[in-house]
Amino acid sequence: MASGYIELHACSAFSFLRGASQPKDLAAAAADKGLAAMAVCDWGGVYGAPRFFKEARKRGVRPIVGCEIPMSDGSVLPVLVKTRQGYRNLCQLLTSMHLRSAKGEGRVKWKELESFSEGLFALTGDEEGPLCRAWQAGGASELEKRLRQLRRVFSDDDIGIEVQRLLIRGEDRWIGALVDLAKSSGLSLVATNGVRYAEPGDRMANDVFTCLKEKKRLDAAGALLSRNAQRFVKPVEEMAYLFRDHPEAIANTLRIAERCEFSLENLGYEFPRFSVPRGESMDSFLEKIVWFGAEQRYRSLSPAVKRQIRRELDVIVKLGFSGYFLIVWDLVNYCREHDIMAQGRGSAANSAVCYSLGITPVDPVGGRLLFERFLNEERKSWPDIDIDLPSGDRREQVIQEVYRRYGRRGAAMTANVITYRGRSAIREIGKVLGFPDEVLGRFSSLYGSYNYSHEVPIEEQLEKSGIDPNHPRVAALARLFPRILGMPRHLGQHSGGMVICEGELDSITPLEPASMPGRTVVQWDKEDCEDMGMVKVDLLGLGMMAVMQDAFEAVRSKGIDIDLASIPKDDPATYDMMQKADTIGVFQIESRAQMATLPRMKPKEFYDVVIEVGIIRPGPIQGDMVNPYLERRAGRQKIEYIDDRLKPMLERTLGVPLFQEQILKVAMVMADFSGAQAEELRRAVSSYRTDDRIEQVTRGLVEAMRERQVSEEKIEQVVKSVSSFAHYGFPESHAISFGLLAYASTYMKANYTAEFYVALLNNQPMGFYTPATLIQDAKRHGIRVRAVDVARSDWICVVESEHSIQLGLIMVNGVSRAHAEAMLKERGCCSFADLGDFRRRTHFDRDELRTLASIGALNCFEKSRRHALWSVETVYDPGDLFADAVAEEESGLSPLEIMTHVERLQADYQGVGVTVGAHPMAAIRARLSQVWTAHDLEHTQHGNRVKVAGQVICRQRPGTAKGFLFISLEDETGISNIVVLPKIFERNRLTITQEKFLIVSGTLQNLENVIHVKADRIEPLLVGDLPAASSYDFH
Amino acid sequence: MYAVIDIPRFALQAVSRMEEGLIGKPIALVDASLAKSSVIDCSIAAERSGVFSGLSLPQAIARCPEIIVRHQSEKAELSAGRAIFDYAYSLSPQVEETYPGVCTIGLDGVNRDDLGERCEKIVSALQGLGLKGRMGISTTPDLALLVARESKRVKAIVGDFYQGRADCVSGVAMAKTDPHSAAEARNEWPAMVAEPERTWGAGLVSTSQILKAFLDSLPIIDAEPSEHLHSILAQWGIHSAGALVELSREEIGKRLGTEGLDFWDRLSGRKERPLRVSPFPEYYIESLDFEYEIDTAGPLLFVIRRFLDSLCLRLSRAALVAESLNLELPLSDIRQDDGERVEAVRLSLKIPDPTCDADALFSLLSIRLENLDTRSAIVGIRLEIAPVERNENQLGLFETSLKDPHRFSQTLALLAGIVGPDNVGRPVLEADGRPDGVRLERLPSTVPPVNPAGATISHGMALRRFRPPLDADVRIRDRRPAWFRCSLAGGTIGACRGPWAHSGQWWEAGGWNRLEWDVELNTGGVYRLVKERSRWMVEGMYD
Repeated sequence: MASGYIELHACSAFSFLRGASQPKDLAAAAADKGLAAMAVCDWGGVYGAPRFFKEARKRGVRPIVGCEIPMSDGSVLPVLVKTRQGYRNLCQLLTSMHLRSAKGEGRVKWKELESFSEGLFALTGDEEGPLCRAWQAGGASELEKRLRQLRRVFSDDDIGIEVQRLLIRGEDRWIGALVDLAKSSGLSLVATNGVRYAEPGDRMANDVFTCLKEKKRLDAAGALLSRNAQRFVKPVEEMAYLFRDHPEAIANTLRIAERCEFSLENLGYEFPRFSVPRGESMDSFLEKIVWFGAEQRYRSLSPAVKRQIRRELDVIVKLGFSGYFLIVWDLVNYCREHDIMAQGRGSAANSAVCYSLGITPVDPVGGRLLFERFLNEERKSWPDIDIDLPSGDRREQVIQEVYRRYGRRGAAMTANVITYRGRSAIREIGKVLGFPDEVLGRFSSLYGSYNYSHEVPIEEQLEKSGIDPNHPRVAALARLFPRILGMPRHLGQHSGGMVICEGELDSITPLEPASMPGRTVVQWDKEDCEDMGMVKVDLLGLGMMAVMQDAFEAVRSKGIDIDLASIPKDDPATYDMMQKADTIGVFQIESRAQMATLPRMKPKEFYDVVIEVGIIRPGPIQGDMVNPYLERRAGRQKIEYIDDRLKPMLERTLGVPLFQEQILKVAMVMADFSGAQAEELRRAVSSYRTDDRIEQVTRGLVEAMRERQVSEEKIEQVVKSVSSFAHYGFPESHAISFGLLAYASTYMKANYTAEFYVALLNNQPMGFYTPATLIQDAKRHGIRVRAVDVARSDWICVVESEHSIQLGLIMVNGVSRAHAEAMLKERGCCSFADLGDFRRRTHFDRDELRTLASIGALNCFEKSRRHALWSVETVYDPGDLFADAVAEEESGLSPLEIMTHVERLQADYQGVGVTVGAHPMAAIRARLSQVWTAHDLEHTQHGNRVKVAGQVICRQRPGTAKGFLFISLEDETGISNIVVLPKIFERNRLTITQEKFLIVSGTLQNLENVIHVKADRIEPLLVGDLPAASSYDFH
Repeated sequence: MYAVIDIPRFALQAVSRMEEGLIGKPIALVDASLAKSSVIDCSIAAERSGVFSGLSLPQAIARCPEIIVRHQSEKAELSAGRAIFDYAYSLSPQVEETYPGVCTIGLDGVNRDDLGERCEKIVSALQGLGLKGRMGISTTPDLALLVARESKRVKAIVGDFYQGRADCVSGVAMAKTDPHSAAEARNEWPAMVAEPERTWGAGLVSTSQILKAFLDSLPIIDAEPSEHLHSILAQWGIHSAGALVELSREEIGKRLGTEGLDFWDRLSGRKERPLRVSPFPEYYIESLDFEYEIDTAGPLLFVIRRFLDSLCLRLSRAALVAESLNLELPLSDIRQDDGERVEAVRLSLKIPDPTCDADALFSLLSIRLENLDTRSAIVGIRLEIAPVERNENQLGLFETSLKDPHRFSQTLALLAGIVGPDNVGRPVLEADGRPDGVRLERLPSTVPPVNPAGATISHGMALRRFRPPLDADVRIRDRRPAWFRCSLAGGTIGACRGPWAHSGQWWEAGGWNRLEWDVELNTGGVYRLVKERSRWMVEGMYD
């Protein structure tokens, strides 16, 4: 008998409140403690299995798949997967359980288990297991009865009497009962440690999770909490010592582990086959349509294009991916046929085949894009094609089409693992520790919502949130906070990732109902799916796609043929707008950081836009690549290359590596990396999950370069470039796709301004700015924005003329679409004579009428808003023959005062969320002495002291900004940009984060037409009843 | 005619009066039960810094960093409400508890000659209890309330507004001939004195201007329209009662229906409603949960004094006296230093000579509290007075309360005073299984049935604990204790079971983390050995 011990019953944090360690930490602990294999049995699923599988394999531990099945009698039955059939049974059993129940409430019936037991090995479980519960309920007789039930479901070979020794006083009696039972029944006695966490120190988090699960405070949890910290991954010797009186229980773990042959490597996943015309294979059919499409796209096929397409097709065929391309092509065709704009993005843009198939809009040959970034012969995983779709109903239509084609159990959304973040972690830990909600709420307001890792230690953050540092539980709160951060909290669904499968997806991974009706979700996130070799198609909703589609349709209605591909890429007005950073509302380049770079970048051609999109990213910013590029572009710095051999691939970015593709090329040239190694590098730099991967790849890169005698100086430069891309690398192909949308949206703003704003307003919410800011911006571009008016408005906003847009009823809060459309239909037949006629022929209720009157939408019938408000309050009786006569007599008799400017503003913000009149700041301008307007700043010298005031429309504190905060203040003339130093921010944190209007004093900085106020004094601007639109903060 | 006592910012005043030194400071009142705290009410000092009701708490702190935050307290409001009621009752038995902080009093049959004076005394007395209020007198309950809200201390406006006829007196008293009141009224209403239509008394004016000015200055929100009605009126630009009353009643009826008409009538004094008269309360209890733990006598005595003032007033209204006082002080940390559990300190005080003199009762209680050592902070207070009719005799010296089973709990409290609160009750094992974890629970009113023993429950041998545990020297062999010695026993260990690992309450000081063994000496005797950190102890001996 071989010596050793295998842990067969461990739960990870993916058991959601039943385990307190990440799967990777369990795998690492197993390796450290000398375990040759380990089984992770998450509660109700195989949620943590892929991550455990990956890490365990890396560390030389054999991963065994298991699951704790919640049973209908309240017990929990741990099972281990022996075979592929067993895995299939487990997945289907869990799918049935989840799909018929509310989230987290699924239970399996014993009878039902009988049909799915093949290929599974059952342990009898711990204190929640069926045996223990039976023993507690009725002693030995009940115990035997329950064992008989278990034996009806599983054969004797597939049942292990599980015994745990957790050093709890009194447990020996239960262990004795189990030993006797094993002897009398002839079943194997199996030792486990019922692992819930990797290390003893994780017990605290486990207790907190228990409290959250049971909705109790720690003080009140009493016997629910663990008695000690023994449920960690124990070394082989320790387990052997613990069970020295029953060595067979240890030996049996090895025997059982040997029988569990199944590995996630053999999932049996197959991508769906595409049905092709008779006489065609998938390969031949793909080839046919690619060449046909290429002729359409390229008009004439140059030798370079032919060579590229040939090469790509050869690789695709060799890797067996033809079906995948055909399916994506078919999906894009579906979109086209149903007037849904679709654009492939991501690395697919590097493929001439995708371009020819109409999946992507960018010519990769012309753009000299690296095909290897998308696909290469050594690449093991499936290609990744993301399709951008207009967000909203149109995207849902495509998702439902996928379900229709592949079946409810053949397709599903990928999961999105929601983890504990600052706000949720502190709230939940604080709750169980007994801190008042009010204090925790204060912490959340101050520290909970930033993507910036605070320099202030957690203890100080707590103190600043009003928690007494001498509070006896502050130490526990501070100790638990970092342990729980990043732990999985629950499973959501990914915004657009879908997996599809040939046959039954529920035999590959369990499916669960998603919170949105009509959708199902797998138990793994997109990276896990990818790691498990499953193909995902990302159907991403992009607000700007919807805007572009609507804007193009509006322009086409004027007889002008326009689409994304046909927009001229050399429009001077577009580049002029970008150079002035006049980009509010356009795609990607509207953020503060982008707007601060545009005047320095001065884009003159399309590729400049691509660089602009790619350069303001954490990767290039952290790698200090932004300034060198801009300096070289301005001619103030010499263009140099790390190595002359890199000139061809870095020439376009002036020697500065800005994109992932360039990093891959650098690795291929400098370290002679193969395609597969480059692929591993790509996955490492684009993974959000772990630093280990990037460290490992970087080590290989350094070693390879040293082998090739590359100088240490150059190695250092290459490593710096690679490291800076870790987690945040941006691929060039992505930048091109985004750049195209950025360019197209700026083009529309510059040339079809009215259509652009109308489309933007109709697709809110999206982007950085609220409709209120967009309308102010539209007005600054000479667009007259007409308020909602029942005599003119449609449901949506519409273009009235080149310089005028009409707001639609869609913008009015509380107005029903059905009532509005009925009114429009009625108005289409015959316009309304007066308010009485309007009320008689429409179905708006009193609240709707009141809102319409308050925003001036009924001013077409009445002298003023107050007149309308006075009139709509009368009871209207459709059967009253004299109602009209009375109404006529009464019209003009309103005794109410007309609204003041501030009252109109309040009514506008309350009813529509925007005002087409003057900005709220105009109302208080007179009392703001010595305060500059945003417009004044453009004419003020660099270094002058200034004071500005306005409504806060945006607060940003990006992780790359070293603690600096950026505030945008809007007034009636434009937007002032404020920079706040970290120490000023800490001093004024509450004022900055809480106030809607601010007065900021500081020094004006005007460098290369980038204008900022460097704040040194920040005060609230008390504006009384003045309304404010919401701001876009810390996204 | 009606009078109204109105305590503005009632919830805030109810809380702040229970704490010494808060008056005049910026205070924000929040609802502790809400996750996202916003200011429910705030003091005038806080308002000066830009804080207002509805502002989020972080924003309030941003505007006023020195702001004092307090939680709304139902008990504090109840206590303050009773005090207001008691004073209202001193004017007339027709008292309605209209809203928290508002009592309406029917004045039928009340002598009006010194009414103003009596009202003035009530306002002063309430101020002595920490409740700064005002009173209004008018022809309808609703108008009296509105008048109160416009008053600084006491104001009376009496008349039929709708008819445009107002007999208006403004000032401390309804002193028709009091020049002092007239002068004060002039200060308060200078505009109205300018063009008198009709003089009354010592030159004070009763005019339609007074009526108009009063209603014009009355914010519509103070008249408490429904949210729906208020939103319509706000949209109409109607912000004062005067502006509404100027609109035609008929037009209002057409547009706002019965609710609008009712509101219009209320403001114009057309509507009189019957009072929902509350009975005089026959309980004499005051209680409060402290927001912050109290560990010094000062704040506690401050609150006790407030309670006694209120309770004694009530006793005197009912012609009763206090026979005994029961004081309960719930504690923050129910574990004491020695591990015993006490939820509250309870004191029972028999009054040798029953009285309703607050000073005398306070003096008795404060003496009793002088030597009180609660060991942990006090988180609340409950003071109950057992009343007795003034003429009733005290019980005899040997007549114990044991004669009365209802007094059982009181006896227990008395016992606690004698043997110490830690030694009364029934022992219950701690649910978390902490070492020697037993607490005393209050005795239940009935004896609970004994649960049948479960099939799996094993009680084992009884452990005779050494308190405190005895320090021991221990020698280890093969990871197990092989020999130990302590002050009571020692020798070679023949048999050993364990270890059992036991840890808990890691989240604060007082947690434990230990290993336990049960060992049998070769010479006899079974002991429990415990290792906590590096210290070995013998915790007990098995019988």
